[in-house]
Amino acid sequence: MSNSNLAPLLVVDDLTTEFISGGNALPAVRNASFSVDRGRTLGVVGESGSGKSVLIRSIMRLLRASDVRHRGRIVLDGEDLLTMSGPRLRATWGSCMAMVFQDPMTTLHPNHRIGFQVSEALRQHFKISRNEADTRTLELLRSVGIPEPTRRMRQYPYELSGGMRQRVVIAIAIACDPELLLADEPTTALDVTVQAQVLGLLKTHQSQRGMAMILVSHDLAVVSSRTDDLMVMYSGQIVEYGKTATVLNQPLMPYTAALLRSTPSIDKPVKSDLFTIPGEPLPTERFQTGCRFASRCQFASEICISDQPGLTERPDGRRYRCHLPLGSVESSEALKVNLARGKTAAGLPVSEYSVAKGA
Amino acid sequence: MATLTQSRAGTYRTTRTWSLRLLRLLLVLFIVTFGTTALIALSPGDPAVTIAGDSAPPEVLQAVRDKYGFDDPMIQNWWDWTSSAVRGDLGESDFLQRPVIEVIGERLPITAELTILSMLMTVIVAVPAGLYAAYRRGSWVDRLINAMTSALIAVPSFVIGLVLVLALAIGTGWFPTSNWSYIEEGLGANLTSAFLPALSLALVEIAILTPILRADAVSSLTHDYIALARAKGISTTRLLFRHVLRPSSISLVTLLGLALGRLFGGAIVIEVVFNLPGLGTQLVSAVRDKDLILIQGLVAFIAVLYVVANLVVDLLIPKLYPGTNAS
Amino acid sequence: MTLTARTDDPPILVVPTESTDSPRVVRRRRLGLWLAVAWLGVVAAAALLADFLPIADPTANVAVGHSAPFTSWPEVLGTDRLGRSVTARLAHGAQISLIVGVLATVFGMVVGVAAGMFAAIWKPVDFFVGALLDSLLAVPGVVLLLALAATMGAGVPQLVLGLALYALPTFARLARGTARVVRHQPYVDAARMIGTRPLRLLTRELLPAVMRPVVAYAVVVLASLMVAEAAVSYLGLGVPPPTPTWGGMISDGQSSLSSAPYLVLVPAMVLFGTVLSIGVIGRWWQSKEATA
Repeated sequence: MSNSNLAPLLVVDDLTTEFISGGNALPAVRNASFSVDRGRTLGVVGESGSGKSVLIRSIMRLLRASDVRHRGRIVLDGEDLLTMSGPRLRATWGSCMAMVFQDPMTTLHPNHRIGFQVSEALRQHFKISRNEADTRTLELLRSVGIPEPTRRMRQYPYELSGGMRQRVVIAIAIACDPELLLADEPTTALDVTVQAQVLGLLKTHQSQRGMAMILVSHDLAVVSSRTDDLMVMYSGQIVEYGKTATVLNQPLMPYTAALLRSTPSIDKPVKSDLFTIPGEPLPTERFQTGCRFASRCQFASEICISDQPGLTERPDGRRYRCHLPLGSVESSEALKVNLARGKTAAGLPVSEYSVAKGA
Repeated sequence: MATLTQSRAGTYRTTRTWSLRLLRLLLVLFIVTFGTTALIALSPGDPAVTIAGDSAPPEVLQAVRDKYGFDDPMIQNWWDWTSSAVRGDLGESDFLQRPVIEVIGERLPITAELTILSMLMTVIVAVPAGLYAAYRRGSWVDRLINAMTSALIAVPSFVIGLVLVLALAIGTGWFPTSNWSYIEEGLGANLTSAFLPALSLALVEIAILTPILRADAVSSLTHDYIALARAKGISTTRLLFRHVLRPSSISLVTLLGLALGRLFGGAIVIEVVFNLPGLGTQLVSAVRDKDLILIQGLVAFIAVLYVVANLVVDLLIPKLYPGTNAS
Repeated sequence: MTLTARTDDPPILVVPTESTDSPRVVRRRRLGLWLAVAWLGVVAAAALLADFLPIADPTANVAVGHSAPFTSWPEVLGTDRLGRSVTARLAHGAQISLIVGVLATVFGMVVGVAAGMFAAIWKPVDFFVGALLDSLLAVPGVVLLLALAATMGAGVPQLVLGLALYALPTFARLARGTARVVRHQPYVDAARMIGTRPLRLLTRELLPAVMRPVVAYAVVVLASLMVAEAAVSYLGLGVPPPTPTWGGMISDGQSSLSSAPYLVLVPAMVLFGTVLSIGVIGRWWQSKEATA
């Protein structure tokens, strides 16, 4: 199936993931569609609770079958992961796709030595002897920048720092040369000084091995310089998608713009107020007639309350989920109306000051 | 520097906990042995009469009193008993006219074999059942295991034993209904005679321990290190036994020490059900015969055995769970 | 890992409860609970009214030899080897089982909670209470009961004492554990800061909080004490004959296990049903307590 290198490596088609609780189905990811090409990096940003992690774990098929219900398709290298048999899935895990988790303090098994945990992945997918696995483990640990790998192999996770542990997790993930690497907030739990090192490490291995990568973060700064494409999630939905640079320079969805404005930056004046998005994010499982961001959006007009916007695709590949994309005439009209009446159609107060604050 | 101070404080703390534990262990041993001594001294009526019989002439009674020191203070009795017990002398049974230690030596192997066999059966059944129920929680297998364990937990082991005899011994003739075949008579015969009694004991323990392991495994399964292991593509069996079992089994292992006490207690009743010549039947007949010295020896022996077994479990736990000792 | 850190308990004490249950599971559990209550009601009524019900004298020979259940009237449950009414013996046996079980549970609870609470608030007491509890645990329940029977003779008071001692460590540990948690709750600190005296603090603030889980636990302990009582009666070292006990009936029936298995199975089923019912009610109560 992998003969055509032009076909995307991963195609997610209309994926909905719902948690089953006490007979109810609670959606966490709603109708997500996107694709990742070989060797490319896709960034996924959004607030906590926006469904990023669930999306990653859905692709990885790590959610318990009896706890969740998936709809749609997740096609990796021509095969639908959602209909894959258990043995086939196990063969895919590790060798075709691998994952780096958020908190390295809890992702390594406390009772197993580092060496065992890395070589287990190797021995699972390659028919190699214990010695050979140990040799390769040593190389892997060295390649992820762990000093004294021979000694580290015999240690338990509690003897390693958080950054070291995340390097081990990365070593496990890349051990079998996966084609797709999923990184779920890989640096959130780490010290700021270590963050850049770990991200650099991921980037190096990605380009060396030609892996595709999905890098999830709530931090735009993490994603901006290290990804080719960018996807913004809000309340379980994809709300914006495009080339990273274009999305960041010309956001079309007001949420993306708000997210950008609420990120501190050294380019801004020293004492400038940090913009905050008013209100609370809408929980993914809550039903909403109109736009899911409408209640927090300064541009919200009547149509945003009544009709749910679809994901519109422009000829250049940009996608956005908004009735009144930024920069359009409708958008500035709507803002004028809202300023005139002092509040949006959803009742959010708007003033010249609140608009100007982030501009 | 900071680490050095910390490690010194740590050493101090461990030394302190260890000496406290040792102190407590000695205190427990004292209470247990003193309790068994007190049992005789405090029993209503004259223990000498109990031993020598109602119709014994006064001079015989006095001889008995002198022999066992019933006129001495209790602490003196305790010291006499303990100091000879340390030398391996637990006194002499009046009824059997034999040293207590000899009786124990003769009967312990049967009780020990029963206990060990049932412990093995428990682990062989409870571990896979608990892990699988946790892995497939909510499924029909999980519900079936849950229903079976919660029903089984309400059946006393001696009732299980009788039902097993009815079904597998009287009904089919596969196993003997009672009596013991010593190992000298052949391992097959020995295991056949031990099977039903051991199973009766094991079923109760399985019913107790399976849900405990299941509950712990359910919480282990939610950890990311399990997701990571899973994402290596390893088989479910390997996942459960190599990754889930260890972090889920701390309460199980701790409870196995207590299970030993329960199994010993259960074995006493089960030995009577199957009429096996173990410590249990000996204790029951000693109680019927009012053989106080034998009872004292048996009770103290069982209690000390239990204390030692639990000490071993405590010492074993850090060895079983490397990597967790840091916290 | 000290000896006290153990979450040991006599059997039947595990509460594997799931947070999210489907309505069907909840309904099924409620049905089980009602069945348990109904069965326990029947047993309790039989025990209370045993002397007034129109049933035979449990020690009188109403027939010649044993007969199977559902073969004769009015002895619906049959007669034992000596021709005594199984119905009557079960009802009177229920008396012994329940009286001994309940009394021992209450005594064990009172002493255990007191010991546990003092251990929780006073370090030196903790050490000695802990050692005492370890010593009690070191002697298996049946061995303890046998030792008491040997020195003090068989009878209801001895059984109650032995079973209470058997249950004591469980209660003490639960009380100690709960008290240690509750002791540092804000409302207890608040009471301490406004100058409440220690004893009053203990009885007014700590005790109610400790008793809630303990009482729920007591039901489950009752079930395990009834099992222990049956075991000792089976060994013939419980309440002496001719007083009927369930364990004694099972023991009597064992000699004719192959010819008349019902003599064992009928009392065994009654014992099983009762212990199971108490267990079901206890676990329901505990899970209710845990979620409250």
